[in-house]
Amino acid sequence: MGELIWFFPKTVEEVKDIITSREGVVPHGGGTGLLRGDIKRYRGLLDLGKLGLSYITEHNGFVEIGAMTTYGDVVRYFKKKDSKSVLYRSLVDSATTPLKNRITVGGSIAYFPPWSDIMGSLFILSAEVFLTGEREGWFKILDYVSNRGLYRKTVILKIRYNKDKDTGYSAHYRAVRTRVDHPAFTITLLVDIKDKRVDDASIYVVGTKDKFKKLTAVEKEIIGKKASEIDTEALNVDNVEFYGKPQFTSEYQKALFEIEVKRKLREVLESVK
Amino acid sequence: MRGVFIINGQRKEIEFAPHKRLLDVLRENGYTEVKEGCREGECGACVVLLDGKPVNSCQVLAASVMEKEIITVRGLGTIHKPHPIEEAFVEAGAVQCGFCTPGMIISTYALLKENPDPEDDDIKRALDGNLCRCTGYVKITKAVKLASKKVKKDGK
Repeated sequence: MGELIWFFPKTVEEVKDIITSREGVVPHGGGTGLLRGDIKRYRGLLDLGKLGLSYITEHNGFVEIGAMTTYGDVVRYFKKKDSKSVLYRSLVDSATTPLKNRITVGGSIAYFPPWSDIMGSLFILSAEVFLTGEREGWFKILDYVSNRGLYRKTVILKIRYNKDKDTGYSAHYRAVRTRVDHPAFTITLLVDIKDKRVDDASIYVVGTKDKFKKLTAVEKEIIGKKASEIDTEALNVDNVEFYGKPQFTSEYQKALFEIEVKRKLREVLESVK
Repeated sequence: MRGVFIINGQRKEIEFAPHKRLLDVLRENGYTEVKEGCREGECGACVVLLDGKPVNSCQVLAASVMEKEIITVRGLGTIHKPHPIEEAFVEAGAVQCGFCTPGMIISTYALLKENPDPEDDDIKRALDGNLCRCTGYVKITKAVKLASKKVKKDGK
């Protein structure tokens, strides 16, 4: 095996050229995901640090986040701007402070580990990723994570979502032993209320056997109902299966999941004024 | 490969293997105040400031931070001229075995730069990536509060 080669492109054109023409080259964001495996198995690393991809902007009703923006940057931005944002709630407790300063948004989406804190909120927000490489342009995040063809020889440059999607009551649950633990799974939910009724709801669990699941049965059961009249304990929760993980058995996760979905939903509904 | 790192205000040209972590590059070049603990980003013994923000140097590939500004605890103060945060840690009895202290000091420095008057919750959150197996954190929290007063007084 040859020595690992680093590439430091300064333009998107260079990124595209390197990722499409060279085998065994992977993008490097903050490196925290890559360092969980054997770094020497890669032939090359494509560093995205010189492309100006660390930013958050809002224009034309969209929030756009550069791929190299760290979780720490996102938390600091939304803490000032909108601490009710589902993205803020998902990331504020997502990792320790020094790790948050290194984990990037783009890297997290490309890596998508089962303990991901960000993916549930991005699914809820119907976020899109902008790719360069063999495929180019904006793609729905749900398509990106389910289509390996979009992953191969591409690089995420930025993400965006419609700001109007992030206006409801949100919550994020992490199944952890201690706050800084990797979650066994996460539950993220966003509920829109109009005239004290649930107008819309979106709930995702990440870390399941299928990697993630949208809780359509729960959503269907609560949409249209008056928030104060929903008996969360009586809800029929979607069947979700988990693999056993070092921290929790599959059975324990299943039991915990059913309790916490109802609990988080109750907290959100009780906060409706 | 060769690269320039700006460590504690000094430009250093260093030869290192492309897969090396920043932690190893620093320690192999004499910056042994950056401690090696878990190598998994869990313990915080290796925390340094990277462009002003605390990061686990074990979770950073050195090549990705060439030309960036790195500050280790030795960049803040010396044994003869300690930084007010270091004085506060000593005065509050927040140092026992001392292995976690460089990381604690760096995280405290970053916190006080952003928030000169931290509450207990702010301190807990800022130091959530630094494990101490000796003190139980009570004296560390006291030290950070004392450091807050000292830093404001000294204007550092």
